Amino acid sequence: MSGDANAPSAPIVRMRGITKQFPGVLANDAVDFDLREREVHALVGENGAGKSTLMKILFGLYTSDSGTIEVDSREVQIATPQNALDLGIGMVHQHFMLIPSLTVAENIVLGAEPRRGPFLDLSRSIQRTRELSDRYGLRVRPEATVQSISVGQRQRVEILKTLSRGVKVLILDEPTAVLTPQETDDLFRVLRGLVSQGMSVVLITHKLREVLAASDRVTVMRAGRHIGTVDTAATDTEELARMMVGREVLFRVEKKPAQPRETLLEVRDLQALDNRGLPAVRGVSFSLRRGEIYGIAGVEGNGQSELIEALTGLRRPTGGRLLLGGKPVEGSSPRRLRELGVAHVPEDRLIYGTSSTSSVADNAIMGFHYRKPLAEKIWLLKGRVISWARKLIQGFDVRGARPDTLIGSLSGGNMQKVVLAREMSRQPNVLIAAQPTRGVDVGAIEFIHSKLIEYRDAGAAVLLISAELSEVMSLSDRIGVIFNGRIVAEFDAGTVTEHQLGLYMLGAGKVSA
Amino acid sequence: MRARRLIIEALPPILSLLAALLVAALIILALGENPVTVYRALLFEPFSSLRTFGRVLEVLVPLLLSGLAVAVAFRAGVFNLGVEGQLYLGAFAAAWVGFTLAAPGFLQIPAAMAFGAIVGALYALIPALLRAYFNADEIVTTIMLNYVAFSLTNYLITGPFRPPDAGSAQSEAIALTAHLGRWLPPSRAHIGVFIALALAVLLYLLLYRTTIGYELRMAGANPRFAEYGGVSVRRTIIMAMIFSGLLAGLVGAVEVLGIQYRFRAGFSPGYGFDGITVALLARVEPLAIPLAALLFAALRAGASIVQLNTELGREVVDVLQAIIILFVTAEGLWYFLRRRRALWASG
Repeated sequence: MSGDANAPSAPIVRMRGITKQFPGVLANDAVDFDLREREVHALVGENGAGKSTLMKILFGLYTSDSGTIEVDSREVQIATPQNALDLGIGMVHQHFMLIPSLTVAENIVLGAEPRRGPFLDLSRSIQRTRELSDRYGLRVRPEATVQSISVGQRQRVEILKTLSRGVKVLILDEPTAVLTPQETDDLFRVLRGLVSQGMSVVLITHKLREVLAASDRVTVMRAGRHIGTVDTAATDTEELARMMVGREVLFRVEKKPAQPRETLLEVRDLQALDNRGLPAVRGVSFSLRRGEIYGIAGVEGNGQSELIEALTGLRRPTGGRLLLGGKPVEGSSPRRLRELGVAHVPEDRLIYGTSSTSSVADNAIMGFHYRKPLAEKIWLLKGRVISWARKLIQGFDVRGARPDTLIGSLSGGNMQKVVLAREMSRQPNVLIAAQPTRGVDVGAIEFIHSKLIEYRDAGAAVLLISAELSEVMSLSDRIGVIFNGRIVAEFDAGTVTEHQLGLYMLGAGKVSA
Repeated sequence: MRARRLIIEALPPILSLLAALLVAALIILALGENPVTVYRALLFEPFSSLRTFGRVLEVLVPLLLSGLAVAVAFRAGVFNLGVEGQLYLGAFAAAWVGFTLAAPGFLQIPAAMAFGAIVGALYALIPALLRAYFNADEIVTTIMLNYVAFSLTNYLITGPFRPPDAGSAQSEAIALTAHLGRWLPPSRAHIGVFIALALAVLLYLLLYRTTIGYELRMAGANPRFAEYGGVSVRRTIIMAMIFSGLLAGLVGAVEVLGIQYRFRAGFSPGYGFDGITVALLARVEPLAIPLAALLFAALRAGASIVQLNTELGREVVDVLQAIIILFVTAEGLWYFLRRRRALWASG
């Protein structure tokens, strides 16, 4: 809470009693929040806890129903992002808002372009980008097009673009979700540098390790309320986790050693193209046995998405073999693969996993909808659909959902539970789980992890694809590292460190391992 | 809870309707007429006598059926802007059965309607296949095929099926046994209205109570989700267009058997396009489509009353309809944006 004994400086931003009601969800319930000058302030909480909403109110994307905001001790009205920028408040969103075909410099000046007559002054744009880049120690190449640079660099461009508007308060919404451990460390160094130049930073995250590594103070939110604000130095993971979920969380995943049985899924030299027609999966081979979890670690964009799609029938492989129980199934339709017992938790629940404008019931029956007990001949039996949806909601503790609730109105974690419940309810032989806990709160993560292990122990073969290294490491029995469309290394879990995996993920290989 | 949700869903279209009426009232005022007189003529007088109500029902049938035709495609994420062309072919097909086959009514009427529907569906199959297999934008192809249908039917009645005593561009009259019964004389209201209402209920059942309907709705709501769930979106698109074409063909068939009694060039004043407005105002919900169709039918029937009582022409109804379309689509857009915002908020 505010008023700590050693308060070094007055808050630059002071939010009091912020309340925001969305249809059916009280996103912020009388929340107080202070940001001091020259601090990195972590804002943590489960998904749906209201942290993004609070910051979107500060940035003028939403207006609060009640409450006040003070900036530099003056009460202000922030109705639009432009108001926020005028007050020196900038936000970097979770999804990048850059134009891929333009250069870094063009993206940075976009919206405030230096002009020569009616034309864009290109050399001044580049010069301005250089100055910014030097001043804040964020290395970028102004002439490179955004589509040609890595995700970590794109994020730097986003940050620079925001800084170029002269902000002194920088809000970062889940900035590390797309970064490798090394890139994350770099980002944190950059944030330190910004703070030393007088900037104040809000870091929205739900990764407690990052909170401890990067912040000065932490504010925890839960269910739309402010739970507490503490000095980072005076807290630890357990305390923060307790504040976030209101109970003790097991951080070590409890699991017995795997008892792998026969090989169920065999992937041999599989190849597939990406949407632009370029090779994305360039000869992937591995085998997946009953009773084990095989984790695939890798930086996003190294062929994981295309691999998953090729394994689930959503993308036609251009070469190689896919054997399920010894029978070739490459090129089979999604329905055929599902009938053979392959379940799929897709990496993006908003694109493949759900239809966000449809009801929970409609989402819960996808893939079963044409079979008994839900259907008889052409008829979809409404009563059975509803009770099926109820069963999944109860079995997976989906909060705030009824069969007729629009699934898009649920929080990310609860949406993901619906997806998982649906996919696991088919008692799959093979469960392909991609980013199963992305954007999901701590409580739900634990639940999802234990479900995956439960399935492994029941004799299913689980393929786990995750950008979250700690997840891959704690759940998997074997780990393959994917880089540039190939599995470049394979380890027994427990014999490899996070650092080693990180190096393989970056393509550095054994050299410095 | 259900009632509350119904109100929440129904409120925005009603509000945008009221807003449209308000704006149109200003235009009517500017033209020097009294909006109250005009609106009374448009919205109340059509219901004031059985005779005028019968006229409303005459127009209701094609508007309702064409609204359903547009809706079923729309729910699958396909825009069938070719209902107009499909209904012309359906009308000709039904007329052909009517003037060539001699059979008792209980055989001839179903045969004519079925043939009209099937021809409409076959015609809708062309853009469906082009979309499914060549990814050709059905918005473009369906519109273009409308002109093909107009010209083709024109050719048929002036060429191979030209009646011996032909004066104007029309086919032979259909047999008396093929006439749909009229039940509200002196109006031409016919039993087609019950067929249309039954089809609205059938479409509701199809969408919400069958597996095909489920796949169709999901393919429209999020095609990648449907594909992921093992639904063939390609097949679903084709199915939706076939359903849409069947209904569009029926629009023409029922119009011929119930009102025209022969195929006439240019008999439809754009029912196929009005269906788009009807479907949008009804939020693409089959059970709301009869209500939306009733509104537009009343406006059409009221137009002649306006013409009699004021200096305004029937065009005032076109203006009003255009304003309603603007507001309803703007409202749809607002609805869409709000949903998107809700999605962002959940992140």
